[in-house]
Order: sequence, then C-alpha cells, then structure tokens
Amino acid sequence: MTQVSVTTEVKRPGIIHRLFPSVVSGILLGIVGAVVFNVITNAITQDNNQDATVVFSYVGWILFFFVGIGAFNGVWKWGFGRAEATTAEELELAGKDQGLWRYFRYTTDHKVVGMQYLATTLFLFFLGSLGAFMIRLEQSQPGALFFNPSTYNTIVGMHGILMIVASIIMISGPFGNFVLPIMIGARDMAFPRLNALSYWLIFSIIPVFFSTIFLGGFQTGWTGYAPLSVQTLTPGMDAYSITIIVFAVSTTLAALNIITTVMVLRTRGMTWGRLPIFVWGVILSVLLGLTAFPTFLMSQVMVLMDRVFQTSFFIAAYGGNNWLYEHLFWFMGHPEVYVIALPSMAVAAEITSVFSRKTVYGRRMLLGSLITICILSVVVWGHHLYTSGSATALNAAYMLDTELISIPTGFFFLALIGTFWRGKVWVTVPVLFIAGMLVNFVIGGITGIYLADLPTDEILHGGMFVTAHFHFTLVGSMVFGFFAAFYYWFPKMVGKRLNPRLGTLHFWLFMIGFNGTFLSLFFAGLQGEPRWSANVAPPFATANLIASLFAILIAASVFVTIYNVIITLRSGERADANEWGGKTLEWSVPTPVPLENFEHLPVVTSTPYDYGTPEPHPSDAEGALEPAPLLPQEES
Amino acid sequence: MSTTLEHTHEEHTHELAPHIRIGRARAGVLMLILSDTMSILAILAAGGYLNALNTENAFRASGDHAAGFVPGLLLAIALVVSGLGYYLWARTTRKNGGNGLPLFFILSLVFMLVALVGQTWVSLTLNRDYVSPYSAYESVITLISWFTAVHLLLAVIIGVLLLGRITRNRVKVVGLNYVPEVVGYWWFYTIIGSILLWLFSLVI
Repeated sequence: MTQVSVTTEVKRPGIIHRLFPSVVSGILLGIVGAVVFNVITNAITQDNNQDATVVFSYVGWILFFFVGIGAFNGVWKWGFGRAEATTAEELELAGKDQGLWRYFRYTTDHKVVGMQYLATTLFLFFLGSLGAFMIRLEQSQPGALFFNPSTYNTIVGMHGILMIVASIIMISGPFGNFVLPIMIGARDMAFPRLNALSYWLIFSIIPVFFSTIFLGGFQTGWTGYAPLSVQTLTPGMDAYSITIIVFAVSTTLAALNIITTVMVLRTRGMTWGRLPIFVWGVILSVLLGLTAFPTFLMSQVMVLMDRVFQTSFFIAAYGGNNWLYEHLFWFMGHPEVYVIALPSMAVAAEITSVFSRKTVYGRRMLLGSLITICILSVVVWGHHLYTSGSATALNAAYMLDTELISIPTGFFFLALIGTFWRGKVWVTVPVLFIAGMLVNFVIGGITGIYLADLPTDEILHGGMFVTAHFHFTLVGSMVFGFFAAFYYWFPKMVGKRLNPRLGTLHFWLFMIGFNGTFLSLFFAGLQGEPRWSANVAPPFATANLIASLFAILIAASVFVTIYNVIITLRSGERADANEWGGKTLEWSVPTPVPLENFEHLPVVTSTPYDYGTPEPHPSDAEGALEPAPLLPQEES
Repeated sequence: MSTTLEHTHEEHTHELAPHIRIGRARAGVLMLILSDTMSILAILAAGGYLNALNTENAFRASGDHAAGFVPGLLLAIALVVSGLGYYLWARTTRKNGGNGLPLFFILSLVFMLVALVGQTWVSLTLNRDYVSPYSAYESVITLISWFTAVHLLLAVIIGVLLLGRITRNRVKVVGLNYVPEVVGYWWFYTIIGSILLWLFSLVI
C-alpha cells in the first residue's frame, strides 16, 4: 500500500464549474432529454401510443440526467482519456473542499453517498407516512370520506412502494455506505463511481414515481399485479414499471459494490471470522438482493412490453398467464423481506453488544442463523400463491420450508436475549428501539406462522390480518431497527448528538401508536375485514376508528423526529469521536471522519466485541437498567 | 451550524495495491455476471413456464415460428469468432507484457458489431411475420431477441472503450494489465449467454 502526499492546491471553482456538472445541470439536461425523446417517439409511433411516449420520455430523462450530472465523464475518460485520473481529480470527485455542495454533485466519497442515502430515506419515509395517514383518515369511518376508490388505491399503492423502497435502502444505503467501509478498515468503497451511480439512480426515479399522480395513478397497489397492470389504461402504470426497473438496477450496482468491498478491501487482520455482525448482515442482505431483484426487473420489462408493444406475457387469451407475474414478483418479494430484515437484525446484535458491554452471545450461532435465513428465504415464495391455484402440489413443501425459517429466527432472539442477560445495560434511545423491535418482532413472527399454514391462510389471506402482520414485521421490527441504527450512528455521521429526551419521546409515541394501530387491525382482520377496500364496512368501524386514533401518535412521532434532527443540526451538542465506547473501527476514527478515513490502515487482532467482563458505563453510576443521557463514552 | 456535513479534511490519498485492484475488478465483474445470469434464468423460466401451462391452448398460434435458423446460426458463428479473436488478443497481451496483437481485438470487435447489427435486424424483422397482439410464444421470442441485442450493444460499447485504451497505449500500463482478462469475463459471458438464449428459442 503506497501513500502519496498531495500538495496540489485546488482552485476555488467558479459558479459555472460548480453548477456543471451537478444535480442542477443533470435536471436541466434531463428535462431536455425527456422532451426530445417525447417528440421523437410521437413522431415515430403512428398510432399515438401513449404508453410508448411515456416510457421513452422517461428513458430520455434518465439518460440525459446522467449525462448532465457527469456520470459518463469517468467512463469516457476510462476509454479515451490520455491517462488515468490524477490524484487531484480523484479528490475533487470525492468532494474535497466543496462543503455542502458536494452533496449535490456526483461525489464518490462513501460518506457523502451514505448521507445522501440517509436524507433520501428519511424523505421517502416522511412521504410514505403522509400516505399512511391519509389511508387511516379515509378508514376512520365507514363510507367514502375524502377519496374515490381509484384515488384511494393509488395512495395505498404509493404508500406501499415508497415504504418498501425506503425500507430496502434504509440500512444498506446510509449505514452500509457510511459505516461499513470504515468498519472493515477500508478507505472507500471498491467502486466509488458506481457507488455514486447507485444513489443518483434512485434520485432520478423519484420524480418519475411521483409523476404517477399526474398520469392517472396506478390501481394495482404496490405489487403491480398483472393482468391488471397490463390492462390499466392510465400511463401511471408505465411510470411505476420504469421506477421499479431503475430501482432494481440501482440495488444491483449497490449490492455488487458492497460485496466486492468486503471481499477485497478488508484491512489486515480483518478475517471473515472477525467481521462485525453488522457487516455480515449487510452483505447477506445485498447478496440476496443481487440474486432476487433481477426477476422483478424482468417482470416489469414484460409488463412494459405488454403495455407498449402488445405482447402477451400475462394475457390469458393469447397464451400468457398471471401466475407468471406472481412467481416472478414473489421470487423477489419474499426474499425482499429478508433483504430488509437481515441488516436490521444485525444492527440489533451490534447495538445490544455495545450497550450491554458484552460480546454477542452465540456469535457463530447468530451468524449461522442469518445465513440460514438468507438461504431459506429464496425457496419460500410459493406461500404467497397458496390461494391463487398455482402449483397446489407444492403447497406442503412451501408450508414446511416457510415454517423452518422460524428456527433460525428463534436463534436471533436467543442471541439478543443472551447478550442482554447479565449485561450492564446502558439504556439509551438505540436500546429502547431494539427492545421495541424484539417485542414487535415476536408478534410479527408468530402471526406469520398462521399465514404460513395453509389451513389458516385460506381464511386469513387477503384480510387486514395480513396487513397487520407484515406491518409488525417490516415496521414494528425492521424500521425500529433502522431507528436504533439512526440514533446510534448519527453522532458519527453528523458530528452532533441527537436530543435523547426527544429520542425517547419519539420511541414511546411510535411504540404505543404503532401497537395501538396494528393490534386493532389484527382484530379487524379476525373479524373478516378485507384488505383492499376503500370504504370501511360498518362491522369493522370500531377497530378502524381505534387504529386511526392511534395513528395520530405515529404522526406525532414523525414530527418529533424531524424537530429533533433540525434542532440538533442547528444547535446540538458536538459528539465525541467514540460516542458510545464501541469497539468497531468506525469509532476509532475522528469525527468528522477524514476524507479517506484512516491516515494509516489499522491492523485488526481480535473480534470487535472483546469487552471483557461487563462493567457499567461511567455515566451509569446508579446501576444497570437506568436511563442514561447521551454522554460521551470514555474508553475503558 | 457546524456539522460533519460541512467538513472534509486530510490531504492524503492512498493508491490501491495492484493485487487489490485485480481482485476488485474480478469480483465486481463476476458479481455483475451473477446478477445478469439471474435475468437470463428469469427469461428461460418464463418461457418454459408459459410453454408448460399453455394457457387456453394459445401459447403458440398456428404458424408461429422462431427467428430463422440460418440467420441465428450465422450470428452464433460471428459470436464464436469474436470470442476466439478476443481470447487470442488477451493471450498475446498477457504473454507480451501488455503488447498484444491489436488485430485480434479489432477482429473480435468487428464480429461483435456484426452480431449486433444482425441481431437488431432479426429483432426488427420478427414483427413482419408476427401479428399484434402477439401470442405468448411470440412475446418470449421477441423478448429473447431484444434482450440479446441489448447485451451485444453493451459488449460493443465496452469494446469501443477498450479500443480507445489500446490506441492510447493504456492497456500495458503497469498495474492495469488485468483489464483484458476482466473485460474478457464479460465478453465471453455475453457470447455464451446469447448462444444459450438462441438455442432456447429453437427448442421452446
């Protein structure tokens, strides 16, 4: 490893140089590209094919956006440049001396990309939450209150896909980019340009996705089921499909980048056996995404072909079949749950160890359980088709392997409880969220067994019971894991301490609001309320009213979080480099983290959980299980 | 306000060791191939599944046929020649310290381009025989045809970029001589994937 001292002075760039290339030039050129492609497509298609026009306009937008933001500059230089990029050019691309503006450029520094992902995730969660609140508002009383059924379906679909997309990227995006390379002792991701590309691909589809509102919406819900998706006349469905295709490409690039980074850039002594659990969780998650998402991508390509070119992948009259869509979708759709879950579970183990001052209990068992979950998750998709009539001969097999997942998941609980057991637990906001996650995950997991069993699923499928179940699994469990990670790593990422009192308020509002809302919906589901109904029928009115009232608490928790972030950014206390006394490498570097993380790469000699005998944290003078403020952690 | 968001410092940069660069490139391309293979498998599974279901007895309308065998065979031959050219170029490059015979690479690129043009022609002319709305069989064949064309287009773009590096003598740069090998992974994968899809279109 050679080290080169750079003494090159970087000139202060002018306004033109700052804007071109940047997100501004990207958007401007993207709009031009969309218009040009729109005109050309209209000219070529004689039969005024509206779907073709929409699809190719968006292709133009995306292509030209990336020309404008400078994504192809590196590619061009790789092929036709006279020499490789110089150190000064690489540093400029990494955002050196560009202040806040580097967040609006095609910046390659993994920490910038991590922050971009974090901001985007929070933004998507906020918008998804607005959708959720609109749904609860509409469902608070029987009858149509605010929306017609078509608008309601679009809101449900948008809420669903926004939350799913945000959940998929919520940990691997922000923390997988910012924290993971430092954790393994790397200076950056393996492919920094590709890293920037994976983020900006997501940015580029945000306007595409929201344009569905102006293109008549999409009535299929987040799953985009065919043949309805093919028969839907509004071009909002085209925008949905484009969004999914680009998102799948983005996650694929991010996945291969993260896997390569861990495979190749681990520092000396960072053996596979010494990798932090968080790194394992992320790598298993993205490996799952890498293999599962291409089928979803292809399903959307087929939908677009059916819509634009009149093919018949899903039209029964011409030999197509809707089961094909369901298989392609759920081959991604079920592993996707674990794409979301695995890093969240790993975060839980990481944080539990730090705040219990104990090594992760049964570390190898936990790792084995995460790997087993990863493997089993790709062979269970058929349980989503129990009642569709497809492959009934395989129902027993699908039932068995779905239930098998409960076993490694049980080991996860065992590992966490074992880590807490007899530890000197420092109860902070991240620990509160982990505790909440454990409680909610038990409810989500156990209710999942009823849905994995064919006889009970025959009764419960398509009802509110399912809605409540997957919200307990994805939100109550995994999003709680995200917030634990958020409060845990925020001081390292931003350099400031989030207010712990507001954090605690956020937790309790969210926990009580969430449980009140979705336990009520479990009840509604057991009463027989169907999922896909814009209007609540009178027998289910009470349960839905209670759910809607508790949803107000969730909404309040969202605003508490936003307020907390704003006041922390404005006037929060400066965080210490090692805020929590963690042993993983990200806590060994200064805050703010230097451009290439380490002046000298560290040599790792042990696992990151060697806390020795459990000792109370100095701030925890009153004893264990007492709430402690977010004080700086002294290295013991 | 003053947060980490505003600050970057440290004036040091560190170059990656050659063996790490090689490992990085190999792993990245292999991961990409793994992911793309899943796309191909999805297409094969879709075609096979629809064929097996034969919904409404309408999977394949009477008179439906695959793209002509002879054009497909010619394209397959072009791809094999392209692969052979690439192999010879990469081999001579490796043996002569980065000074491979560019003629082999140009031959390889030209044949890849020929395959792309041919595949595009095949895809465009499919619609001449098929009648809209297309049957499921015609849909699968159309998808295979255009999917292959896109793959070949990617290979041609990569080939043109690599040609740029060859003409600027940047293949033999110390520490970057792994490029022919790693690009070769994608090159050969494209060829194998395209031929596999063509064979599938014949047997479906």
